Amino acid sequence: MSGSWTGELWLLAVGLLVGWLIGSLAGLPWVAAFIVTGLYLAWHVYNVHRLQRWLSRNGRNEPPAGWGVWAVIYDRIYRMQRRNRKRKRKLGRILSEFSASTAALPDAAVVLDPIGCIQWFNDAAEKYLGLRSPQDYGQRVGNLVRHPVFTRYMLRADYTKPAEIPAPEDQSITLSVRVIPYGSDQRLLIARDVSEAKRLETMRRDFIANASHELRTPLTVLQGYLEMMEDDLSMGRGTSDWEQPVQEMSGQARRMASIIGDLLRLAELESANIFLPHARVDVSAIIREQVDEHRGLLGSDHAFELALDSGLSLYGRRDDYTSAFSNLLTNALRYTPPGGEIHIRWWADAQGAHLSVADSGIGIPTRDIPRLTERFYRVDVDRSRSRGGTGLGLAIVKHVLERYGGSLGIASEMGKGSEFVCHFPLDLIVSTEAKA
Amino acid sequence: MDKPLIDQHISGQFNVELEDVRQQVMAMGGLVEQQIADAVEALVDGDGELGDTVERKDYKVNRMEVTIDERCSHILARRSPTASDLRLIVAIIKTITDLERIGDEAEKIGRMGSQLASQAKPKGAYAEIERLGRHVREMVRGVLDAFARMDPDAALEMAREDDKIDREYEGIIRQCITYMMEDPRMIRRTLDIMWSARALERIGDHARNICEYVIYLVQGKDVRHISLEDMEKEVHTHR
Repeated sequence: MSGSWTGELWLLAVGLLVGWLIGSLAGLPWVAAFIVTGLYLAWHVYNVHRLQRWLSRNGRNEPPAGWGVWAVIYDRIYRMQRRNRKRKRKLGRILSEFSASTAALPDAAVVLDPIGCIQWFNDAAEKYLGLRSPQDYGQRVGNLVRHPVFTRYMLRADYTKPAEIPAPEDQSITLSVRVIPYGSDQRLLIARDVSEAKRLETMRRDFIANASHELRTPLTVLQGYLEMMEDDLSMGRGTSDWEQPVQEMSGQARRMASIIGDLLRLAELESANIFLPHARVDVSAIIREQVDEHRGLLGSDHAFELALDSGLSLYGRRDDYTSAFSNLLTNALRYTPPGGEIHIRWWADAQGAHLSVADSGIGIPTRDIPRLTERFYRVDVDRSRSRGGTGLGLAIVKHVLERYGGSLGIASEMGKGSEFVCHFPLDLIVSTEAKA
Repeated sequence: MDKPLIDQHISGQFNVELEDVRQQVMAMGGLVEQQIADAVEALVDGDGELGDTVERKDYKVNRMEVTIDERCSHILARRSPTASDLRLIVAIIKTITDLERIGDEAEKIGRMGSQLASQAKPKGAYAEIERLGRHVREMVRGVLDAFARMDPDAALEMAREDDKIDREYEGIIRQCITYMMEDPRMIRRTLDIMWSARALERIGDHARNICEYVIYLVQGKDVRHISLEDMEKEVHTHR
């Protein structure tokens, strides 16, 4: 008996034929055909009923025994179900392994839907963010993590940098929160405990600030005596043999004092609690001032070329800008041979305000450029020492810019000169009607 | 746990509006929490600059109150909400008033902090103020969490905290009186500390009010002006 539907058709045809023949003998072929069809239909209905009963019991137990096309149907369904069950078990196992491994992550992980509702989170999120399972599913994450910094971070939707907030349940824990968009508008929020790193960072900063502070006092005493000795020598008292060493000593002491001054300045710039006053700072005035000062100070015969937009002012602290610009200028002068040119441009465009200091100096090798703003990093140790820098100038520039949300761009070509460009964000610019 | 109360609307837009307002309330709460933390820190560490920052930031809290108020009126006018939605809007309008007052109290503490920063620190009392401050901040956080989760049990729990805060406050006052009797030169400064403690205690009272709104919001029961025991009974009947 072939189990396909054609077999079934044959069966029906043969049944009808036999019924018809027997019926003709009795003189009632139509009645016989009707009975055969009815029997055939009853058999099918009975099987449909069996199938339904079996399926309604989720097909857990063995399928009912069938005959003809029904055997094939039962068998197929049974096999399909077995395959599905197997696959489901496998998927379930993978899923539970996967969620167990993400749950064991040391960092808090929260899956957010497009409008910021919590869809899933791991154990660490309960610990660090104070979320509760399962009642917080569907809640907007901003309702439970309410720190203003986090609220702003989510509102801005700029996830390039992580945000640092204290843990909601325990203020002594600092969390670094980061959102990673993925898939179709889904977002993954990761929070990591950075208290230890933060503590070390604070310790390092405090150490540098304290050490510099402690060094300054003895140095002032030394400088004082050295000055007195210099005065004495210049008036012809004491042995003239000491004139050279004393001069050298006071020169080095001055250098040390300026390094300590720069270190303290950096420590101040790095300090966490910053409040930026909304004072207007006239940048072009500072630049003119600085250029005049440096001209007089170094007695240089460099040619300055200024192109300044004098109506363009920034918000911020005058001291910060002054120290940044002064460092850029000093650098340009220091590494440009006498007679060289220094171009200073100050302008604004759609991206923000920019200050460019370009020189025709000796230039910087490309491989050194990324490391220039590190503290005490020097391209050529002997040369820069002989020119009397502290090694902290560009670090200060970078920190000032970072504090104001800006960045420093450096371009250079060996032997032709370098260009340092400070980029300031748009919101720092004093609005145009104010400058008119 | 069942879905949040408001998640059962035919109009998706209305849902979003309600959720947005609720989120704004929580954001305002977060700002207020931060203000309390900063104000207490400024007072205890004698950080005048931080105290000034707290004073200056209070306008943000006020501005948020106005914005949320406006949006609530808008929803009332356009959607004419009923039942639990109406209760939500009413609870929000009341909550932001209390949050704004909490902000004012924090501002007061911040101002006290920047005043006291220039003077020498008096001994004692600060540790207690710090503890009270931490306690109050925890309470405000718990209350806002209860609001976010619409959890009347947590709200009740937090309402109980208010009594503890009142007792702590009494303790500080007694201590301050002793200080003043010991050394009359300290009276001025001790009075400032007492005012700060008073402000913290008031924050506790406002937070308790918010607890009552949460219970009102979820269960529709008015539990104002009744004792804690009656409040518990109210919450636990008809569960």
